[in-house]
Parts: sequence; C-alpha cells; structure tokens
Amino acid sequence: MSETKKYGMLIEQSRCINCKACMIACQAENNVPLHKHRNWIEESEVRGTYPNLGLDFTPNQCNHCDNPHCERVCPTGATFINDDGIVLINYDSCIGCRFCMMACPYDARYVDKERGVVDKCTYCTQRIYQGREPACLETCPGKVRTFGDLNDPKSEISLKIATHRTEVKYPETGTKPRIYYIID
Amino acid sequence: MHEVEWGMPVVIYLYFGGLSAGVFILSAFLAYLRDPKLHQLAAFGAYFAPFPLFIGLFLLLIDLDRPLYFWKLFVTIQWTSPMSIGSWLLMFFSIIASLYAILWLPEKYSTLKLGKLKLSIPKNRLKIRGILGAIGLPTGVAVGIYTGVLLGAIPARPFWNTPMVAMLFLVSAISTATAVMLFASNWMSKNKSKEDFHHERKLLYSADVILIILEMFIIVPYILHNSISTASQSASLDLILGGEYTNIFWYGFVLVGLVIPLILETIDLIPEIARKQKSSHIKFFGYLSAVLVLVGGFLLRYIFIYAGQASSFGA
Ligand code: SF4
Ligand code: SF4
Repeated sequence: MSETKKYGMLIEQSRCINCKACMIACQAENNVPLHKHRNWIEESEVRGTYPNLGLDFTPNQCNHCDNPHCERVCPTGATFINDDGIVLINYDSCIGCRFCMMACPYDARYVDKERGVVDKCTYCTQRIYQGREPACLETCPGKVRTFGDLNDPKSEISLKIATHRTEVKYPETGTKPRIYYIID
Repeated sequence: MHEVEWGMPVVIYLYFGGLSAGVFILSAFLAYLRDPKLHQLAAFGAYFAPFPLFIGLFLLLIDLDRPLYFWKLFVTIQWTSPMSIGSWLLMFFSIIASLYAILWLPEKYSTLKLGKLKLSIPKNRLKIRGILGAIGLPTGVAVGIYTGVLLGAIPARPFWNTPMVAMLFLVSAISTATAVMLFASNWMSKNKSKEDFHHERKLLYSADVILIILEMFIIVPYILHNSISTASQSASLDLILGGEYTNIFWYGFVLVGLVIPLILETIDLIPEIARKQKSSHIKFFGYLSAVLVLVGGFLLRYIFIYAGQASSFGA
C-alpha cells in the first residue's frame, strides 16, 4: 500500500434503478441549493423494438480528475487537488468567475448564488474523514457505488476494478477522470 | 451545459477588450509612421483606447458572483490559467494605455491639478510616448489574442477548442478598431484638407480590406478543420451549420459584418487599384461600413460565447 491515498469511485450502472435517492441524500447532506445538483442520473434513449427493449441509467458527478481542467484554469487557485486526490474548492478564494464551469467536460459544477461561489461534489469530506461513507453511497438501495482508495490494491474498489472491465467517461478530454464505470 | 453561465457582460468585455487593444495598436503604429497627416488620427486613437476596456472590465467585475473578492486575482499568478495571466496582462495594458493617452494631451494640459496634487507631464514626453507605444503595441496584440485564448484553451467546449479562435479574435479586434478610426476620420473630416482626408481613408480602407479577407480565411479553415476533426468537434459545428446560431452567423456575422463592408470598401478603392483617378468618397458608405464592421465584431463574440457553451462532449 502506498503512502498517500487516492480516492476514487466505481459505479455499476446496470444496478441503477433511477430512484434518485442519491440526489436527495446529497442535497440534504451538503446543503445544495434547490434545483442544483452535485450528482444526477442520465437516462439513455430506449433501445430496440418491442418487446425487446433496453434502457440505461448512468449516475454522474464530479470525476475528481487526476488532471482536472477546472483546477488548471482557476485564476485564483481556489480549486485545488487535495493530497488524497479529491478535487476541492477553497471557498475563501473563489471569486465566482465560473471559468471552471466552462472547463469541466462533465458539467459537474454549479453556482451557489447565496454564497457567491462555485461548488461541486466533495466526496462528502465531512463524512469520509470520520470514517463514514459518502451520503450517496449510504442511501443507494441498489448498492451501485463503491468508494475507496485506488492506491491500496487490497481495497474493495481496487479489487473490483482489477476483476471487471471498466471505463471512464470522455477520456479523450485528457482530464484523467477517476470515476470508473463497469461495462457489461 | 445546463444554463448559460457566461452571458452578455462577458460578450461585451471580450469585444471591448479587443477593441481597446486594436485601437491602441493602430494609434501606436500611426504615431510610429510620424506622418503629420495621420497625427490627428493617432491622437484620437490614444484618447479612445482605454475607455472601452474600462467599461468591459467594470461589467466583468459586477458579473462575478463575488465582485468584492476580485483582488484575489492579483495576489497570485496561476501559469496554467489563461484568465489569471489575462488579468495581469489587462492590468498592465490599462496602465500603459492610460499613461499613453495622458501623454497625448496638448501642451496646455501639461500640468494636471487634482486638489493639492500637481502632476506635471515631463518635458521629454515625445520620447516617453514613443517608448510606451513600443511596449504597448505588443501588449495590445497579446490582449487581442488573450480574448480568444480564454475560450480556445478549453478542451471541454469543442466549439472553442482550436487556436484559430485566438487568431480570429485578434484580427477581428484590429478590424473593429479600424472601423472606429474610420468613423472618427469621417467625423473629423470637416477640419481637414481633402488631401489629408483622402490619405486617411485610403489607408484605413486598405487595412480593413486586408483584415476582413484574413478573417474570412480563418473562418474557412476553422470550419474545414472542425468538420473533419473528432466527433464532438464536428458535432459542435452543427450550431452554425443548421443549428441555433446558423442565421446569425451567416447572415449576421459573415454577410453583414464581413462581406458587405468588404464590398463597400473595395468599391471605394477600385479607382486607386486601377490607378485611374482618386476615388470620390461617399461619406455615407464610410460610416456604413464602419458601423457594419463594428456590429459584425460584436456578433462574432456573441455567437462564440453562446454557441461555445452549448457545445460539449455529451452532445
Ligand atoms: S469532473 Fe469536472 S469538476 Fe470534477 S475534477 Fe474533473 S474537471 Fe473538475
Ligand atoms: S469560479 Fe471560483 S473555483 Fe471556479 S475558476 Fe473561478 S475562482 Fe476558481
């Protein structure tokens, strides 16, 4: 196990039933303003012809990229990469220029008008640093997400990534996203 | 993107920023030519240059979600952030453009009184002016490019993500600046000899014709390049090839902002080109092409800001 942690998430999207409990849990946990979201479920179009039909639900959120463009373009240095790989925002330095929102290929950020800053998923640092799970994980009835240390080869997430075929979203943008999706 | 996060204030800021840079570039260049016939125009440019930028910066400031924190920009330099470098660049440029404008004031204003404070402009003002012009000119070019790099350096928005945007914005900035000069030249033509007026018009028209043609030859490869590029990049082109911004791009920017002024200006230059006789200027066309170029430049920023935000990898 390496010295530093690197947090990541694995999403088994075929288990998602689009109940949106994670969205509500996140909103409540993190005081997300009404009509803004840190995570959301993308619905695909219906595939096939009746009676052979298919439909996908894909949970989305900030990918806590290894090469986050949001951090690269931030003019004040407010957005930064924490030692454990989590991309965070120093709210005292954010001026609300929204350049980071232009730069994120996943549209993972939103403006918190009340505080005048841009915000996004933090992997619930307030919970995980106390040894609890992120709120979206805890509430999910389908157990869609696995959260943990990618640098630890024995962690549940590392084992699952090693034994499944996974992909990341839009790798061509070069942000090196750290949310893995299981392909099936 | 779910909503438009950068709206009109950013459009105007990029437009005015480029305009200021362009006018400064032209003024410094005209001053460098040391042609007494062009002196008045150079002076006008020097006075004019700082103002659009100041308006743009003010709009940008109040568009921040926390305007009172803007100083956070100036306690750090983030080398990977075009906006951080741009902020410093704009600060530097505003100072140079303001000093430059002051140094162009006629002799009788050489002492500025601000309450008890007395500022006298140094005797060797011409020399300092020349040096400021020499520093400001490349800085102006950098500002013009920066307004495009701000958008071009973002892979997440395929519509923006090409270096050609920076070039297009720079050339368009100088073209709109030429239009401002053209407008001023017409406006001030009464107290000028016919010869001088003709001289100015010939210069400005020729410059603008070249700039407009350059713009066209940036747009063509921009479209060709994007259409054969990655899926997301060619998909983003749909925004101006059948999508929401098609009409405003082709009829607004290309036709009204480029083609019509190009034709008007070329018609005026034909006698010159054919070396027949001096053209008989129609003043109205001078005003008209200036206004059209200015409208076109504005539409270009508008289309890019809005269409760019509508383009993404998911689309
Ligand atoms: S997903 Fe977007 S907001 Fe999150 S780290 Fe990557 S670029 Fe930044
Ligand atoms: S909105 Fe805040 S976090 Fe985003 S780029 Fe601007 S200063 Fe940085």
